[in-house]
Order: sequence, then structure tokens, then C-alpha cells
Amino acid sequence: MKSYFDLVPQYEKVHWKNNKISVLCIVLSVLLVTAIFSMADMAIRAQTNYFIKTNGEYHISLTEIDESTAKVVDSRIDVAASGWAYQGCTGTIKQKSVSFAGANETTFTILTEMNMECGTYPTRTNEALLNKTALNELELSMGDTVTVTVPDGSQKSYHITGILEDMGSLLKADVYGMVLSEDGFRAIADKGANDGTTFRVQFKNGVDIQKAIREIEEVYGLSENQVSENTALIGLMGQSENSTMQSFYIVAAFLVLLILIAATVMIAASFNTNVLERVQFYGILRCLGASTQQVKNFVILQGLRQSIRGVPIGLIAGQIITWCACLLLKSVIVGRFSEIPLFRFSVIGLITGAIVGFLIVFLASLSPAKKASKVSPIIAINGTSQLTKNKRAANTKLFRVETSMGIFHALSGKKNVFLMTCSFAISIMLFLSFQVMVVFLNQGMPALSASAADVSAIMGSTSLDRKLVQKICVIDGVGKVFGRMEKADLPILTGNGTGTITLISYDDNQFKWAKEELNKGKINSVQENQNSVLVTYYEGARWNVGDIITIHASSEEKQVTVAGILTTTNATNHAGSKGYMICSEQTFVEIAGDLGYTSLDVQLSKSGNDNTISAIRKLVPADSSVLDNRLSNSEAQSSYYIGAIFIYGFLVIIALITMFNIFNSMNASVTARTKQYGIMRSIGMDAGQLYKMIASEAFTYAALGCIVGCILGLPLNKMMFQFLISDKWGTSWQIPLSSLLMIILLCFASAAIAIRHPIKQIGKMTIVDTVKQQQ
Amino acid sequence: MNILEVQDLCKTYGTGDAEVHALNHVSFSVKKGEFVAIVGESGSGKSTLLNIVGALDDPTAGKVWIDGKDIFSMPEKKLTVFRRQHIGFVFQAFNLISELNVEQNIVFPLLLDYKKPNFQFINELLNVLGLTERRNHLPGQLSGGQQQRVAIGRALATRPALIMADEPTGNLDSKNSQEVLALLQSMSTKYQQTILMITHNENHASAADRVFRMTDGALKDLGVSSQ
Repeated sequence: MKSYFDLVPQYEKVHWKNNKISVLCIVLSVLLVTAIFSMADMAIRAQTNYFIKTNGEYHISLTEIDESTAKVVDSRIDVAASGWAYQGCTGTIKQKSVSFAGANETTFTILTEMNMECGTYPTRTNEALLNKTALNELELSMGDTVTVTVPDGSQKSYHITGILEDMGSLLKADVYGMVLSEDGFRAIADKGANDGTTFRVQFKNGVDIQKAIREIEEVYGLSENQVSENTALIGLMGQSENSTMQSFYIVAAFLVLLILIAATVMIAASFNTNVLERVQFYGILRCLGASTQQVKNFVILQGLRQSIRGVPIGLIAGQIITWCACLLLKSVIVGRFSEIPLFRFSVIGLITGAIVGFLIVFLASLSPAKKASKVSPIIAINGTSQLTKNKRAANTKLFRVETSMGIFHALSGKKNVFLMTCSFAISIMLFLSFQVMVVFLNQGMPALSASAADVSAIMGSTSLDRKLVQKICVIDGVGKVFGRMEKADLPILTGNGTGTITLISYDDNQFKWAKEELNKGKINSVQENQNSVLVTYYEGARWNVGDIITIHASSEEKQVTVAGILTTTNATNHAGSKGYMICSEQTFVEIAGDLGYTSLDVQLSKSGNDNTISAIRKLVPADSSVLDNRLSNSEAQSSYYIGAIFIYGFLVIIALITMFNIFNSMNASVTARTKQYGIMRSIGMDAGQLYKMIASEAFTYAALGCIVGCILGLPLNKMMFQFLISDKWGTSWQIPLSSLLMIILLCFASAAIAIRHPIKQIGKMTIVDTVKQQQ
Repeated sequence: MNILEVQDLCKTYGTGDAEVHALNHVSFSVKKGEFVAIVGESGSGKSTLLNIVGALDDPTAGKVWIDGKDIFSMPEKKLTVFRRQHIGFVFQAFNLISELNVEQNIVFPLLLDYKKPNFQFINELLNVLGLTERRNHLPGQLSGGQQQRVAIGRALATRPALIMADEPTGNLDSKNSQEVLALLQSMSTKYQQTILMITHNENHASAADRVFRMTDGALKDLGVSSQ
């Protein structure tokens, strides 16, 4: 031994069991922080890929600018790429609409959401790309020529040089997509091109985009309306000034802070207990002449040595968890949006994990180090622990003695009760905060709702016969068919004055699914035709359940009662000044007559395919549109999965933090009192009473933590809910009872499981050995 | 009437070369109200004997009857209750519950039994022990002698068949030691209390009615104390 520091590894070798728990604690903290930050990083990368695919990889788009301004912007030092994206013109191919887009090859590839499947990019004015579905339906192939009615009504022939990848937006709108060269588009452009054409700009990495936007506006004299952000992409880069994104940043920063606090509390609690367990050892060191500073250095060195072992394991484990989450996503998501980064390292996750590992351990060991340095040498001599200094006696009158003792044990150490309460409370707060993210996910990027249609038929000049439902039902590959009658601009009178509504009919299926979107009230009476209706929420709406509405229908006036308020509805027509009103088909006929369906939705069965859609097309009137929603549905579902796996992943990690924290703390608490338990057993406490005493201690921590967690967590939950949900969708905040119950149950269950192991250990020791412990 | 019967008690630690016979066929009996002292050097097996007789540890062989009950034939749960109700302990390190005050420490075994303490008796005990003024004090606020008196009070609270005192004066100065020994002696007389005390100090054994010597795990009856 060359220095007193050499005692640290010797001590660790002998007390490897205690040491193992501390290292495990660091491993888990680093793992949790690394996993959460890496997963967040991967989620951002995945969402960025998604938005690049759906919107294009541009940061801002400029409208109504001239060619010279475009050239100057393009030559800016902070611009990586820029170009014109022409859109807004439509024509027809064999009576079906075709949407034109134009760009040069570089702009098309980098700055737009479009992709070329194969072929060569059009360079001449008579060359074009046509989307895959169009080629199939028109029975064309690459190299063929197609005749198109261009916006001015004339016919023009185009040579198909390549295939444009299908996009959900095209299929959903039931239009073909054709991409031309810049000159090709300009040759056919009409007024519509003015609205649809933008000059898209991608900045170089590291550019302050907001500053660049302000500069561009000032230098080139552009108004705010002429410069639009690609909000989703800039938002994910953390550079958006959009209010929704700003709310997101605040929420994210807050969650990061909570996660860091949780990790700190976990490590601090473990170190605190560790030092309490070694009080006598530090007493011996002091006895042998160690100065307070030397003891302090000793404790800090112990912590850092444990970090050196724990941090790399934590970093690797955190990275593996992230890769597993990404693999899971990759297996769930198919098609266009499956570009989840696989087996990539998240630098931010690894750096944060390492910082947490070393810095927090260092900071967390400062306080116990101070405590250790204050240990009196006398402790080494008489063997008494500083734990046993109490200022007041336990109250044994309220409960049975073992319960009273347990509660007293829990409440006796101020620092201990603070750390334990904090660890429970922070877990509850984190859980409740992420619960809002789950609601946000369901509202903002909803999973495909049960009512989502694979195919929708929208009426043209004539309505869709209600008997079509039966006819479509028998087509091979069709699952469910349901239609909606609609009557727009019906005048109504309510307590808040007059206005108009768009009346919509639902069938039983749609009423069943509407329960998911019900904000207030009930649906049953509406379904049973009892002169009841549902209304939808819109910003500024003042609907209440029970409101009486007088509808001025063509034949007579009819009074209906608002039975419930929905967050949203599916409708083809625009909303009236008072929004949408939903009723049963029978009530609709009584009010507006049998108008036939405005739209028919079809859900395909597993055997449904393109032939099924062709068969549906043949049944509906020729001027109706048949929208194929399958691709856009799968895109939406993919986006939901990305969000869901990460957010639920976070929730699982938080639940694990909670459980480990409780396990570690209870184990330490019981270990620290082993001798005392032995004394009680020697006096006559039986195993059941011992169990009850330790259980009441654990449940006191859990109860305190739950109370503090609820007091702080619920307002936080409400605030975040208002911030992210209520302001946007009008959903009123309610106590998240199920989530709250779940986390409280988890806390209590963890506490119950946590005490089993140490109690078993004590049970295995003879009373004599237990009393001898730490003596 | 014998309140304690010990027959052929053996306790062996370790195996093979490391085998140690802490107790070697120990047999003796104690009558009701007797104050018995067992003296011996450190490591002679005194504490092992006390732990086994007090049902805190298991013997390798042999039997122990307390108040006519074969204690090692009882299941663990029943034995715990038996220990609580029939055996009192006084330890060298006092082993008081630091969270409970003097009075609570004394009634603690009764509370574990969910019995309402007889406060007339408890007050009498506090008075006899000279702790009436200190009844609301915590152990940390008491001197060593006072703490040991609380431990004696706790052992007496359930009026057990037998009190086991393991070096009760080991942590005390000579004045407090004499006080504690006198107290044990008077309790034995006043309450007809059987006490089994182990000590390495042969002078302290003089306070007892009968003395045994423990040497290398074997027990020898030295007969009636020559007070």
C-alpha cells in the first residue's frame, strides 16, 4: 500500500456485496438516462425521417417571389439547397383528375416529398413521371405516351420516362399524380400555379434558422406571410418559434429535468444508505488518525471507482434497450416509413448517460462524504450507531405496537424520509406527466380509429342510394360498410342565438365507435331516436349536455336535445356556424327527408385488394369519387406506432425506476436495522409481527410518496394537459384515475415485494446472529 | 419445584478439524425463585448456554424444559410466543429500543402480546427500579446504569418463569454494577423470580444463590454461594 487510497479497493473486495448494490444502482441510473435520451433521439430521428418523407427536406418555403430574389436566396452562404416546387395545376386523364407538379431533378429529390421509383427524370417539356396506380389503372408502362387534358383544356401528349411512387395524399384524393420538368410545368401553368408554387430552401447544418428567416424577410422585403416554416422539421431540430412547438420544448425540458432528478435521487439515496452502513468503518479510520478531509476523499473516491465500473455497463445496456425498441418498431412498421435508424449510436444519449454516471455520483457522494467525515472516532470503540439517536418516542397508542414502530421508523430520519418520499413522488410525477404525452399521442397522431375506412365513396351530382350498403357488403373482400347522410347549412335556434349546422346521420356501427370520441354526455338516447342529437366541439363552442335546439327544417320545426358532445366527426360537407350535429338515420329522415348517403365508407376484410376496390367503383355512380385510403391509413398508423413505442417505452422505464428505487431503498432500510430487529425478536416479536413492522414502514413511505406525488403530480398533469390537449382539442381535463391508480398500485406492490427479500434474509438468520450484526 | 431443567445439552460449531464443542453434555436444573450465576472465562461457552436455554439458538443435542415445557419440541411460532411470555432477557449492551421511552420499553413485550399492561404493576416496577422520574425519557437520555435498570424492568414486565441475564454488568462501572446486582437479587426475592445470570466476574457471582462454573463447554456446580 503506497497511499491510504489503496484501502479503497481492499475494502471493496471484502464488502463486495454492498459494493455490488451501489454499482448496480449506478448501472441502472445510467441505463435509464441513456435509454431515455437515446430513445428520444431515435424517436426524433424517426419522426424527422417521417416528416422528410411526407413534407420534403426543406426548412422554409417562400411564396410570391420573383426569379431574381430566388437566385439571391439560393446564393446565400447559409443555404444548402433551394429550388422551385411547382404545384396547384390539375388536368384530367380519361375523365379522372390528375395533379401536376414540376421541379428540377435536384429539387424533386431533396426538397419535395415525392420519390421516383424507377426510370429517368423528365428533362424535356413533353416528358413526365406518372404515379404507379395511374399506370396500372390506365394499363400503361414506362416509355408509353399518355394524352392529358391540361389546365387550359387542350390535349397534350407526354412521354412517360419514369414511375412516381404512390403517395397516400394522391390515393386518398382519388387523383393521379404527374411530375414534369420545370419548363414542362411552366408551359401548362394556369392561375392555380401561383397559389401552389413555392421556392423551397434548405439551410446548412448549424444555421440559426429563425435568424436567417428574419434576415431574409428584411433584406429581400418579404412579409411574414410570404415565408412559411416547415414546422414539423424545424420543430424537431429544436428551432421552431411555432407556439405548439414552444409548448413542446417547455414540456420536454421539464421532463428531462424530472428524469435527471429521479436519477440523482436514486444514486443519492443509495450512497446515503451506503455511508450509514459503513459508519463504524469510518469511525475506525478516524480513530486511526484519518482527518475529516481524508475520510471525505475516501468516500468520493469510492463513488468514482464504482462509477468507472457502473457507467460503461449502464451505457451499453441503455444502448441495447434503445436498439431493441428500434428493432421492435422496424418489425411493426412496414412500407414507406420504415426508415427507423437501426444499430446507430445516440451521441446525446451516451454523453448524458456518462455525465449522469460521473457527475451525479460525484455530487451525490459529497453529502454522505461530509456525513462520513463527521463520524466520531468513539463510534468505532463503543459500536453504537448514529442511527439510534432519537429525539422523541414512538406513539404506541394509535396502532398496535409493531405498526407504530414501523411508522416511526419511516418518519424518524428526516433525510431518509425526504429521499424516500421524493423517490416515490418523482416516479408518480414522471408517470403522470408522460400520461399526458399518451393522451397527446392519441389525439395528435391517433392510431387508426375503429371507424377508419379503407375505401370511401363520395357522392358526385347524385346521392348514393342507401341500398348500396347491401350490394357492397356481398363483394368479396369487403368487411363493414356504413354510410352517412348529410344536410349542410340547416338553420337552428339555440339558447345562444341562431346559426347553422351540418346534420349527419350515423348507423349503429358509427354510434358504437363514436363512444371513443365522446367528451361529455351519452350516446344511447341518440341511437334510440329519442329526439336527441350529438354535437361536435369547435373552438369557442358553448354546447352543454341538455341544451335544447330548434331545427328549422324545410317541412316543420323540430326540437332536439343535446345528449352528448363529440371531439370530432367524419363529414364530407363543411361545418355550419354551430358545427356538426349527429343523429340516427331515422331522426335524420324525420328532419331532412331521405336524401341518400353523401358518403359510404368501406372497411376491407383480410382478403380485400385492388379488385375489391374496382368492384366497388363499378357499383357507385360514375361521377362519384372512390377514395383509396389504405396507404394514408398505414402512414398514419406507422406514425402512431413510432410515438407509441417510444412514449410507452418511457413509461415502462419510469415504472422500472420506481420499482428499483423502492427495492433498493427498502433493502437498505431493513439492512440498516437488522440488529434492532434481532433485539425485538429476542424480546418476543414473532416473524409475523416483524413482517408487519417492516411492511408498515414501507407503506408509510409509499403513502407519503403517493400523497406528495399526487399533490405535485396532478396539478402538473393538469397544466400539461391544458397546454398540450385542452387548448387544441377542447377536451376537458379529468383526474387520470386509471393511470393514477396504476402507478399507486405499482408503488404499493413494489413496496410489498421489496420487503420480502430482506425479511426472508433476516428470517434465515438465527436471533443470536441477528443481534450480533453490526455490533 | 424445578422451573428449568437442562438435560445433556450439546452445541457443536463447524466440522472436521474446525469442529468446536461449545457445550459438552451440559445438564442442570434451577428451582423457582432461585438466583443462579454461571461464571467462566471468555469463550468457555456461557453465552452459548444462555442463548440455547433462552430459546434464541438451537442445540445440536439435548433437551430444555422451562416450566415443564420441552421448548425445542415447539414449532417456531409457538416458541416465539412462549419466549415472549415465559422468558425475560437482560443483555450486556442493554439492547433497549431507542425509539421507545422508558415506560414503553418496559411494557413492550406486553404490547407485542396485544395485552393491556397492568399499570399498577408497571408503576410499582418503575418505583422499585428508581425510574419513576425518568419514565418519559428515551434510552439515549439515560446513563448506562439507568438503561440496564430499564432492561431489568422490561424482563420483569411479563412476570416470566425465567430471566436470563447475559453479563448484565459488563458495560457498567463498579458502582452501577453493584446497584444492578442488588436489584436483581431483590427482584428475585420480592417477586420469587428465577434468574439465570452469566458473568466472567467471579465477585459478582456472590450475589447469586447458587453458582456454576463453565470450563471448555462443561458445567460444574459450585454449590450455594458464600455471600
